[in-house]
This record gives sequence, structure tokens and C-alpha cells, in this order.
Amino acid sequence: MLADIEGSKFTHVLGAMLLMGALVVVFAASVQAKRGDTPFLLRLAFRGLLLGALPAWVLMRVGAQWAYSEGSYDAARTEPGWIGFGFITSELGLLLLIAATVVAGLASRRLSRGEASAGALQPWSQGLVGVLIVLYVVTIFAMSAKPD
Amino acid sequence: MNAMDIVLFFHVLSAFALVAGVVTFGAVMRQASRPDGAAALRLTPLARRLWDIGGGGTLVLGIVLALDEFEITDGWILGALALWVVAAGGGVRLGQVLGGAEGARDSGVLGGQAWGLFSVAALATLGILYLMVFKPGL
Repeated sequence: MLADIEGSKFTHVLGAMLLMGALVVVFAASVQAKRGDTPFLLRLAFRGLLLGALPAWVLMRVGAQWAYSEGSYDAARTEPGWIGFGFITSELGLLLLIAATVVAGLASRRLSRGEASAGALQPWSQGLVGVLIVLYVVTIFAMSAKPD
Repeated sequence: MNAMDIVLFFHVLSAFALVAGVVTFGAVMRQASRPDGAAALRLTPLARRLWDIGGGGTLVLGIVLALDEFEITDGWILGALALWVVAAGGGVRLGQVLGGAEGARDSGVLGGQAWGLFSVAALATLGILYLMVFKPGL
């Protein structure tokens, strides 16, 4: 039982750390793309979201649900506020993550075709990833310091 | 919420920075090994800063937390400290190798040694995370 709880926590934390790491790589690649090697770095940002951040989000979310199911919060109706906050930010984060991935993919594809509109899309993807990073730092605060 | 909760938050945030450093190192090495991938080396300074900040934060704040809540001589804490030394050594050396490749703008120098250093740093970091969550012996 204890090993199950710790296993679920390990899965959740590892997924969250890999997700944050992938988002940092994507954001940095987007920033660097403005200073040259734009097609390569925008492709890196898109791949980082598709092959790094999205699978890491799944790992984080599976771990969270596994930990929640071990915690018997439903039966006791004693769910702390930080758990609800975590669920909200993870679900909202997925929507933003999907939007950022789609926009980054479009920007990368348009740039490889030489279309001028790629430059207009890139800041949107970078902005969404920046919002995600801030959102997840606030979530880390809620999950670790547990202010309530 | 007390001061130790804030310390815990920054300790955890440092751990996220450490893992983000590993992920960035991995992305740089994976992408730089492509024929057109030398541009990925421009992410090396970020990886090194994340590694330095994450490593320093986890160690200092971790010791503060350990002195407050646990015994510094607990087996899982000593194991984590030993793994931290291994990870720090591998990560700092890897940063120097990638920094050299970035300066030369040549990803061709990234061979088995760099991948070996990355593996050491990544596995030691994973080991620290395992010890922090499972706390064996406690």
C-alpha cells in the first residue's frame, strides 16, 4: 500500500519534472529562433512539445490520478484545496499545451514552405508556453508549500 | 504555512531546475548529433545555468530541510548526497564539453564521452528523485 502511494508519487513528480523540462527547452528554442537558425529551432520547439511535453503531461496526469485513487479523499470528503488546484491547472494546462503544439506545428510547417505568416504564429506559441511555465510554477508552490 | 514550507517550495523548484537541466542537456545532445543540428548547441548556456542553480538549490535547501525534519545521517539522505556529488561531477563536466563544442560551433566533438557523462548525470538525478520520494529505511 505504502509502496503503491510512493510509486504513484514518483510517477507524478517524474512526469511533472520532465514536462517542465520540455517546456523550458521549447521556450528557449523559441527565443533563440529569433536570432538565427529559425527553421531548425522552430522545428525543435514543435518536436519538444509533441514528443516531450505531451507524453510527460500524460505521465504526470496518470501519476496524479493513481496517487489520488490511493488517497481515499472521495470517501472521507477531506480533499485539500491544493489537490483541486492541481487538477484545474493540469486540465487547463493540457488545453494550452495542445494549442501551443498546434500553433508551433503550423509555424514550423509554414516556415519550411517559405510562407511569411509563419513569423506571426511563432510568438503565440512562445507566449502559450511561457504562460504554461508560470502556471506550473504556481502549481509547484501549491503542491509543495500547501498553503491551506 | 511557515518558513520551512517556503524552503521546501524552493527546494522542490530547484529540483525541477535540475531535471530541466538534464532534459536540456539531452535535447542539445540529441539534436546536435544531426547533420544540421549545430544550432542546438546555443541552448548549452541555459542547460548549464539550470544545472548550477538546481544543483546548488537542492543541496543547500535540502540540508536545511534535513537538519529541521530528519537526521542528516539517515541512510537515504547520505545516499542522496553521494548521488548528488556523482551527478554534479558528471553534469559540470558535460557542460564544459558542450560549452567547448558550442564555442567551436562543432557538434562533431560530441562522442561517447559526452553521452557517458550525460548518462551518469541523468541516472544519478533519477536515483536522487527515487530516494527523495521513497525515503528507504525511514
